[in-house]
Amino acid sequence: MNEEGIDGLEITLDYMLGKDPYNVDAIDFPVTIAAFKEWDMMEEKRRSRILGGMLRNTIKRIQTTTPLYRNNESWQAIQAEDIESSEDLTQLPLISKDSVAGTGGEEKLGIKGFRNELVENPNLLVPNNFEWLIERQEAANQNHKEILEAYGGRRILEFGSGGSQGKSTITKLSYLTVEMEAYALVRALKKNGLKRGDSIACFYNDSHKGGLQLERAAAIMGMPFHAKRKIFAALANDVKYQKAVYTFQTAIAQEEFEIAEQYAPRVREGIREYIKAHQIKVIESVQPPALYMEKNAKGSALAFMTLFNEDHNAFASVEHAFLTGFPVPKDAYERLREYGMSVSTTWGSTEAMALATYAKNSLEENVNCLEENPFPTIGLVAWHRERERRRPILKRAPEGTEGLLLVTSLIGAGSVYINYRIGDKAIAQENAYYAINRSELGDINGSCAADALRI
Amino acid sequence: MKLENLINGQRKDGETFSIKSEFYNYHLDLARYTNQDVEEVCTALNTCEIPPLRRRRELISLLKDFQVSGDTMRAICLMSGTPISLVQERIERGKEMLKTILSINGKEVSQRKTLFVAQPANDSQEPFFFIAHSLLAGTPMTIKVSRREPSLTMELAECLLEKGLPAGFLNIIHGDTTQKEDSLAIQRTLRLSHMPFVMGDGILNKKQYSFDGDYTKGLVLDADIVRIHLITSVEAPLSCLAEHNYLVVGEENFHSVVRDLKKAYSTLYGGSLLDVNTRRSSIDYMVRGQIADLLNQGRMHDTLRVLYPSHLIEGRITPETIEEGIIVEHYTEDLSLGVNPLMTKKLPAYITAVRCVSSLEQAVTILEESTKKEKIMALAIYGNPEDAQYPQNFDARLKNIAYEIHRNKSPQERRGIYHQGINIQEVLTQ
Repeated sequence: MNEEGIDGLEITLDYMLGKDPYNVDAIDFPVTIAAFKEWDMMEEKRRSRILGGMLRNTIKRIQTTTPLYRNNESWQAIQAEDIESSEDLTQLPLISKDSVAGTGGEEKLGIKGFRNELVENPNLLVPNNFEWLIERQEAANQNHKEILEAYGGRRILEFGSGGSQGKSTITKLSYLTVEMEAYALVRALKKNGLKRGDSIACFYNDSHKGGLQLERAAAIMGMPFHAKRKIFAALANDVKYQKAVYTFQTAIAQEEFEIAEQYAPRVREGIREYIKAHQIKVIESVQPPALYMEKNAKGSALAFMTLFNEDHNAFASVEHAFLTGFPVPKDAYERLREYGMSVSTTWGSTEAMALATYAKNSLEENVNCLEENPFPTIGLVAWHRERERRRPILKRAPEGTEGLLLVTSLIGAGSVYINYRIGDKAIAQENAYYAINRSELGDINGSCAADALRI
Repeated sequence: MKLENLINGQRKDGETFSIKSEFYNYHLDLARYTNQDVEEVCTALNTCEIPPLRRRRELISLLKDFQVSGDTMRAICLMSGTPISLVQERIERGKEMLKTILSINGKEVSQRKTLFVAQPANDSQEPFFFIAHSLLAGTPMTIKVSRREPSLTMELAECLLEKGLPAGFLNIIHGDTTQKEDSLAIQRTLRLSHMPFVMGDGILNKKQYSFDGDYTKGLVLDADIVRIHLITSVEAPLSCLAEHNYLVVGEENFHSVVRDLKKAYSTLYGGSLLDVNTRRSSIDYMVRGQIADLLNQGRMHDTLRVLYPSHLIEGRITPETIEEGIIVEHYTEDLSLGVNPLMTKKLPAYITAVRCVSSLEQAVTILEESTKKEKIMALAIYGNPEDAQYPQNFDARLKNIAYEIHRNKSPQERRGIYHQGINIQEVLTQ
């Protein structure tokens, strides 16, 4: 592998995959395999077959070991041997945490959510031979002890997710699964244009999987990393900002947002001073859309554009804004580009990382037009079809139309998500995902008297 | 056009703010609303002369001859997005309502009570409704007009003043509700009233009467009977009394209703709002965007299918492509998973949702499930079920579903006495 910044032997992906690349299992490879550029460069059919083989082996395992799939008729009816390529994702059922109203019928299950089941049984998605899978992963990673140290000795990591739609649930992953995904993130970040030596300030909490993996990816790439925790600790030690930081953090924790709002400007000032003092090159942050900002005090105080607009001179050293968590608002990326900054985003989630990314050399101006980042996560933009059919199927959404974003992690050492309806939608494009966004249904304005009082 | 607050018979000069039309290069300058204005409104309401019943009835009657000015008509059309032909029709309907309201006897006022109304923009008959009821009941009134369409109410009020309505009986206020001071001043004014009425789901005061029922639905048992009413519904996209959702019993009826709806949409002429031939209103882009999201979600999950226009059956559903109308069939099969969102969301655009059901019982069950959180404003039943078809406790179940039940007529043909099942005059004179 001739990867810039990845130390080690010069090994190609082909060599790694071995003699029978179409029948391999992702857990039998070193985590570094996810960083290989060849995933993006290889001929599509070949890649599809390689990924198909991994999918087939994962499904064979989960059909017997993982409760959600083992106890489901539709999944049991799948003949794993029929899966030849990643295109065959459309032959598999989808899974969803939440039920979808309007689906189903007398003889059809519809889209029935598993959230309550998962809350009752946190191992619903976890294979019953989890330990054995971890051992297999460790056998493939000679330096697994070092990696384990990087995760504080935790072989199994747990991440909470999806609390906004109902009860929060837990995703359990082996440390090597999280590490493999971190290498996939490395590949994505390189596509974004980030490189060794660039210092990065990250405003994601490291208790959040995205924050943790970004820190790992930065370490792998040799990028000096300034975690939010570190930045706030520095500000808390600075008499100028001590009180503001302490009061702000306490207020946020106690959901006293009005108080937090009073101290937020001072905190932001401190953050900008830190960025200037440390000559930060890359900022990872969040910029929610305007409507979200209006309705959610919690996430808005440190929104990136608020930080930037208050004093953009503080960002003279910053070359790149890596904005995640929400689609990047158009006015945000246009403004930052006018200022001379590159902007990018990568889509990832607690369940699967890193599906797609905005590449530096993209021909699309819209930062939300993402190219796929295949392996270990693959995706499908599909329509669920059940009317007038004996059994439900997935139909690939016609190019240019919106469809359900379904994500699949091919690793399988931990909570296994196959064709997982994550709650996002996307516009289907060849090898790309455009306009990934939440598919929540809010209220519809313009009602009989919507504007009598409000507007 | 500049519109001041009309307080105690006078237009009050003061700070203004500008509201732009969503659809045209046009704007209104409206007055801010201050604490000083609140004091003056309070004084006006508490000291204005309340004419005797006979005089109040005369004033209502004089409104039947009201003619809207060219400037005001232009403002109504360009700000609300409603074509002139529909505005004219609704004004005439408003005048028809006056006759009905005058058929109520009314009483002399024994105790002064004041009324506050937060009035929407979407229907030009609304001002006639509230003003006439207020006059008949003898309740001095403040109307907080919508900043989207305030001009008709202003002109009606000034017309009445010219005809001898005592100053202070009818006060019209604007206010920039994006500004905290104005919002608080409006809330104070509402609290000062004995009877606050709010159109919509905004809550300003626990004692307010809210007209916030969910959108009207239709239940069709006979396609021939509903036929003439479909166009009435199609032409009123923003009205909570227009059925944008039909449950149709039987396949034959269903196909007939869909055919008639397609015809209604395909002949809906769009054009300049000031062209008398135009019948299609303009709808906010944002609202169309929200509807498009809802439809796309349904299509992705196979809980609806597009019936019209044909190019949207698999084509992109966007705010642009649904501007001229769309008909969708929706499904609710397994109620344990929830009722189709099209049954519970408002559909304030040119969209009609239809569902074929096998029986009246199935229709009522779906309606019951979809109205668990909120009753609908009205249910229109078209057709005459044979006794054998009647589900058990049919009438009682209907009362839990809708505030009003209309049989074989459009709910929009309301006579002006009830709204959301409330007898307005009874409330005002209790």
